[in-house]
Amino acid sequence: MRFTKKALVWAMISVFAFSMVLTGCGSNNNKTSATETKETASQPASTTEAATETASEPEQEKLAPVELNWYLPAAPQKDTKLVEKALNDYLKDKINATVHLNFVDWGSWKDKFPVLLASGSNVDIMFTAGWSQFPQSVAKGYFADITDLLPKYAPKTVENLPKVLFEGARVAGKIYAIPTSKEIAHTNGFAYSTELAKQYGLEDQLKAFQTKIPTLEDLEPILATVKAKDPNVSPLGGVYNMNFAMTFLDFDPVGDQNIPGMLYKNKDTVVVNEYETPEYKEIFKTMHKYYKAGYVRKDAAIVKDGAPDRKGKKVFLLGGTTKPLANEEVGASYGFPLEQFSITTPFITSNDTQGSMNAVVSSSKNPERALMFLELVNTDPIVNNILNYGVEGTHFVRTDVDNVIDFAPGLTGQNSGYFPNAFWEFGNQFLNHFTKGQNTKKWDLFKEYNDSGVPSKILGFNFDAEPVKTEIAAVANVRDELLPSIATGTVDPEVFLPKFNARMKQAGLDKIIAEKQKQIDAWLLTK
Amino acid sequence: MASIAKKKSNIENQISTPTNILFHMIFVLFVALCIGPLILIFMVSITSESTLTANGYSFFPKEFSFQAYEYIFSDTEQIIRSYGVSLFITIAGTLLSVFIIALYAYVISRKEFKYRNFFSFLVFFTMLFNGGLVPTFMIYSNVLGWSDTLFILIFPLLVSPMYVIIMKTFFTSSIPDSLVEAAKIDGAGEWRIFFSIILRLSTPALATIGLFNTLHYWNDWFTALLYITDEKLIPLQFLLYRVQSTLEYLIQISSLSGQGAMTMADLPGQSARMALCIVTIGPIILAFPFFQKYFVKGLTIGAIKG
Repeated sequence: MRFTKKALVWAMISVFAFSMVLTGCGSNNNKTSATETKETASQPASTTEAATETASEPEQEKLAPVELNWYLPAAPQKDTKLVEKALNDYLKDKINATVHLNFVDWGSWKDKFPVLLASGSNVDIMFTAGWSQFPQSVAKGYFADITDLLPKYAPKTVENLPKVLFEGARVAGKIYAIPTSKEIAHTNGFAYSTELAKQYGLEDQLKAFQTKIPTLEDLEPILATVKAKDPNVSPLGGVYNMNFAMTFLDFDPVGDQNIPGMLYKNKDTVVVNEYETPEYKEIFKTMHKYYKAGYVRKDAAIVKDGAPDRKGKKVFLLGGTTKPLANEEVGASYGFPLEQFSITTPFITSNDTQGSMNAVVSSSKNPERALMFLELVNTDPIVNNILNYGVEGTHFVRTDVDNVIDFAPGLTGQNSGYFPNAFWEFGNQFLNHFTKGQNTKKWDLFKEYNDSGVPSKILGFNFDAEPVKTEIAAVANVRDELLPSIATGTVDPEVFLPKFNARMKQAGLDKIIAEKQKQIDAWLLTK
Repeated sequence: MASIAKKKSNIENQISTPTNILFHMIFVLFVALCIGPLILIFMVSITSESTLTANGYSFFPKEFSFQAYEYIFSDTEQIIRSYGVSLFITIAGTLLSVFIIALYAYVISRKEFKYRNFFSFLVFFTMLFNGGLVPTFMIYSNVLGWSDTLFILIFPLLVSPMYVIIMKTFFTSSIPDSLVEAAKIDGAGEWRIFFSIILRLSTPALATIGLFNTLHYWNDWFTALLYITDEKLIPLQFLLYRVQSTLEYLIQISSLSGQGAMTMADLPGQSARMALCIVTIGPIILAFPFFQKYFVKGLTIGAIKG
């Protein structure tokens, strides 16, 4: 008996010791693998230097054939093989690369891409974005530093992209991914059904907002008219997650918009708790007034999906982000025409610039060829449109109008064998053909819009949420529980806003803000 | 079965009529509570989306529509194929895993087995510690190259330590050592003892583990998420998970922006979710009564019997 007890104790000790050794090994392994990948990443860079000379020579057939794997989040397409073939036939003469498009469906993306990266699987190019752990992936060494390679292998891409985009995509001064050229600024605003506006006789009033930016108070007469004309329509659309204060004030979110602690838009670099600012309080008060007047759905604080209301034309003003022609496109998807007006001026934050990027993975054996391919994606209309629309004749046909295409006869977006509907992932959007019925002025308007954007003072700063992860989760819980009722005006902010702030502080809000401030200050010093 | 019909022979086992009625009512109520939601799910799945947004869920919808099913079954060939994959991995996986678990559990339950402690420790250790997602993925995918095979859908779930321990406990507690000895004296070899005696006596335990494994294999979509990219090998649950996530994405981008100008107005959202439920639970509901027969025995085993 005594013996077995002793044996048991020893067994336990050895198990623990062993497990500790194992975990020790684990972290050690990670370190070595990280440095290893870094080395392998830099190695091709040096070999490529030799390769460049041959590459820049006209005799391009010297390029050995390589295979590239590109992973992107999108609904898997039936005809992907067909499209790959068309793409690779074209690429053969250009860069002699065979590209495999690996579409990972939306539900799997957030689980799958970290595993692919961490396991050093056969990936060359990976879609990434601020919302898809871009800063974290860079910190872990998954993406190759392409600062030096870029001008060699993708010179035109660098030239064409707005400077501000690269600024925003930098991490510690280095480039780890190529941003997609699309709209890079954001504005907040409202859309409304033109049909209803005509019916209520509000057209002129609303048109005026296109030139003179309204405040929330300016909207009141409109809301009152809508309420009076049709009591079944809620004048101000908004459900659970709406945050009108955010929309109207356009604070500069430091990192993720859902983590509290923001800067006043281009005023200074002091992080404030936005829910304690007088501006927010004013807006919440107005919202409460509007709620009492019946301008908002009675159950707005608990309704999570606003789409049915919008489709059923049961709301008049729809809050959200606006960009050129968004009204036409969203309107087309709802099946009725919309008009829009903005309530903020175009503003560029890191969130906007890191919205959609493609990175070369550091374990890639052919980073230089991957960049050559990305160069084509960003500059060659043929490559770009194969990726977006598939094979000409099979999936799409040209129309009489230049650069306008239509689905092949009998096909629609839903039954086509290839229509990923993810235009913003495949490099330069300005190269896209237009689909029938689309406004062909779109890219001109986008350029104008981008040029008018004002970059944030902290553009390029990436907030590392890791040190305050627990607090962020706790704060998010409090927010989800209490903010909807305050933001929709359901409850009196005089009473509930202080309670809300107290709970947020209890959950660790101050620690998050301090961390944000610390990181910004450190970042500003390096600038 | 104690029925309401009065038989003289078991009159002493009969409970009084009022109690009997009360119990029946409780059970009828309980059954209704269990089946009600299922019926509601079914009714919602065949309700038109516009009725849903206007009136909400109802047992008696105003307007019927099979649009949700049409959306899910828009690619019938793929659904049938996925059903096939799921059925195959469930049946093959369950049989194989029950067999291997039984083999493993049996050897470590025999006191004569020399390396018994080592193998018990191995099971126990892997139950407490595992390599984690990334190393596992590296081994299966990069080292062994099993991605995109049916085997990868079966292999990772083959032996689960917990079930080995349950099985071992069953063997040690329910099958007397003397039985094995007796068989040996009569001239049976190890294989014969295992197949003709041990397995025959262990049907309740085998059925229990079998049912667990069936559910596991049938419901597993995460393995497919990680390892399967070939459309031909996608099991049903993962296919439906994908349909759901794509649907959500389409609905989401329709409210943000959509360059392709697609009409989202009549995409089924809520009803499709319910239809997915109905499509996936089908076969597993049929599997349960089959196993249940053994559970009744399993529960009574060890009790005193005449």
